[in-house]
Amino acid sequence: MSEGPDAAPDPPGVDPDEGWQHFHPLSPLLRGGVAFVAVVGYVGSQQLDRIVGGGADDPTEGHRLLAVGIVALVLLAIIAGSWVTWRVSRFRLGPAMLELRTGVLFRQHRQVHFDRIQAVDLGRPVLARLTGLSEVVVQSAGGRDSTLRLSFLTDARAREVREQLMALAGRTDEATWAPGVPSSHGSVPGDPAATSVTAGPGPVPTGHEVLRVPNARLVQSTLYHGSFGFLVLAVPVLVGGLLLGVGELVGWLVPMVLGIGGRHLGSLVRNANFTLHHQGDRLLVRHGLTDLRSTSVPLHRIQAAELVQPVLWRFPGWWQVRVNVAGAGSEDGPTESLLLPVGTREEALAVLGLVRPGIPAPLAVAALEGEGPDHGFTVAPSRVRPVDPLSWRRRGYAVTQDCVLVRAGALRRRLQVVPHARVQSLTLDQGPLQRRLGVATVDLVSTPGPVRARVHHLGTPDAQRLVREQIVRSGRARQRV
Amino acid sequence: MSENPVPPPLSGQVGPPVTEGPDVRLDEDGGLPWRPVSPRLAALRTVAVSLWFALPVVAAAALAVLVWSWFWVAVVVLVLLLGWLLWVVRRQVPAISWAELDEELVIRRGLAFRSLVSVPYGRLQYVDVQSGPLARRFGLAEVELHTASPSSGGAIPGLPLAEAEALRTRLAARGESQRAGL
Repeated sequence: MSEGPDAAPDPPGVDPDEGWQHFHPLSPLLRGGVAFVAVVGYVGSQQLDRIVGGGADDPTEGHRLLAVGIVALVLLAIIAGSWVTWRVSRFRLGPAMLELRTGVLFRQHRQVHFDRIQAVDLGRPVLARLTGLSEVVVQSAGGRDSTLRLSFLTDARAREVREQLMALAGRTDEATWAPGVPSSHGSVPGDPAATSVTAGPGPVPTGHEVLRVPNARLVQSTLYHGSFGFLVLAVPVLVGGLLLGVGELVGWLVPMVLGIGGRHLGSLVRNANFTLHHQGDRLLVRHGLTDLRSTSVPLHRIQAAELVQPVLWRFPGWWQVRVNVAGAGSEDGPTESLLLPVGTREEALAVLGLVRPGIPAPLAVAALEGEGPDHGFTVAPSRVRPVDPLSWRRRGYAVTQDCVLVRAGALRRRLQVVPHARVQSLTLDQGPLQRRLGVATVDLVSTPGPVRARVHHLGTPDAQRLVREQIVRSGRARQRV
Repeated sequence: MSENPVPPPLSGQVGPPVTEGPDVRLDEDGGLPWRPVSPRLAALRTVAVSLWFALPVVAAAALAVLVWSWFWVAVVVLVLLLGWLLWVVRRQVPAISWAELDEELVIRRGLAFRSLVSVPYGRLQYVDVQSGPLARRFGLAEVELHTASPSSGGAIPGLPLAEAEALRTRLAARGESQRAGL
């Protein structure tokens, strides 16, 4: 009943119908646990009321048989639905991947390659714990819906499946784990999760210190932030409002001031005492005023880098460096992706040099501060000026041996660096207005993170050429990884 | 036509010049083996959109008859909107096409907002085949590609069930043989 149209030619040696396993029969009830418990609990409490209270006020008003019948029907429907769900939900450990089939109305077939598995955890929600069942939670690299749940199996079976998956997912690629840095997931040996955050003092950084951000500069950089200007204006207004007793003004200014001020204060506390160490194939980031956090970022896990200069930072010539790290969970906050909260151009370029060596200095400088087609940049045509009056001269990209440099922003200058080998996919977009101007936008898609490398408003032939050539460049680079 | 017909030499190192590569274009075929999706997708979407509008239209009409005749305005607006959507559907579906190349799958869609996505097989994390009850009645399924980035996958709607399943299997096999580290 649940066979999908499997007329497809399967990979040789794999029987499409072999090795499928069902979950524990109680699984659908546990998954829909709340509803089931609610019905049972409701009925139970009714009965209890009747026995204890002597049936003084019978809510069914005498139609007891009908009530019992309805409850029985609901229960039957739940059980029947659960049974069907159980019948069609199956998983198997194939030769190269884990496959999961679910769904009656909306059928789904999902597969995860073993070597894409980032972590395998055992989960035990309350209801499952009561019945001695567990679910196996499989995290794969990044992406939406990247968690695959095998729920539920008996504890023993779940542990067995987890062992199996871990053995199959074990990779030699991850031999670069620093000893003494415990994995945050603590599950897969050589857990490929990209960064690990340890509270407390953390590993004492060895290796050489790349840079240290003076706290005074950090404070100063906050003052140069655009939203700080708002505070400068808002706080006197607020004080005046308080003195004059303008209630509604206070009512909506206070949350804004507190919000923005709190964010600045938070980032100050978080990024204080910032140091960056380089040790072999990883960067060690340490920062924090009250609780010191220490983060280890393996260089080979960095997917893309971005250098940003908010408009007011131009006067002191400061830059910020952020990166996308594969597998960096969002639960750890944005700090892991920050390699330099605020630094001079030289420091920023030094960090960039660690992340992505081999970018010639003149090119890097042109990418940070230059404009126009010098140094091999392909830029937006002048006809986009009406829609992009300020930054059209800066927009563009350049290509080196191993990465793409994407330049943008006239006021808030930005430079994104994406290695050819790390491009996930390429998109080419063109809205109606762009179509009339004969331009298009290319997105060099990276893993989730703060960096998004998009080249806006390239002339259509240039954009198409970028995609065409990048397909080849990325293809070549991928094979070397 | 091109702004920079010959890119000026870089001051630094430059990779080997790239001359080949699939000729991806937004509005021409460029000699790639583009394949359309099933024309039944237009029928499916027509039915789906109409179903969505049926209840509001009937409700507004009932209100117009029973309560206040100005509700006919709502009926007219809804019907016009429906008509426009149906026109969009008829135009959109033929604009979706996809091509299975040696190393990547390319999907192209849209007329007013055109987009093209190229997903290398080596970057595939997993492939979903989805088919709702209505779609199944039309014998159609959607193949959705997932990479390590939530924003980058692509989806081919409106493939015949058998073809979708076959494509999924092919993609799995190709992803397997060309898979690259993250």
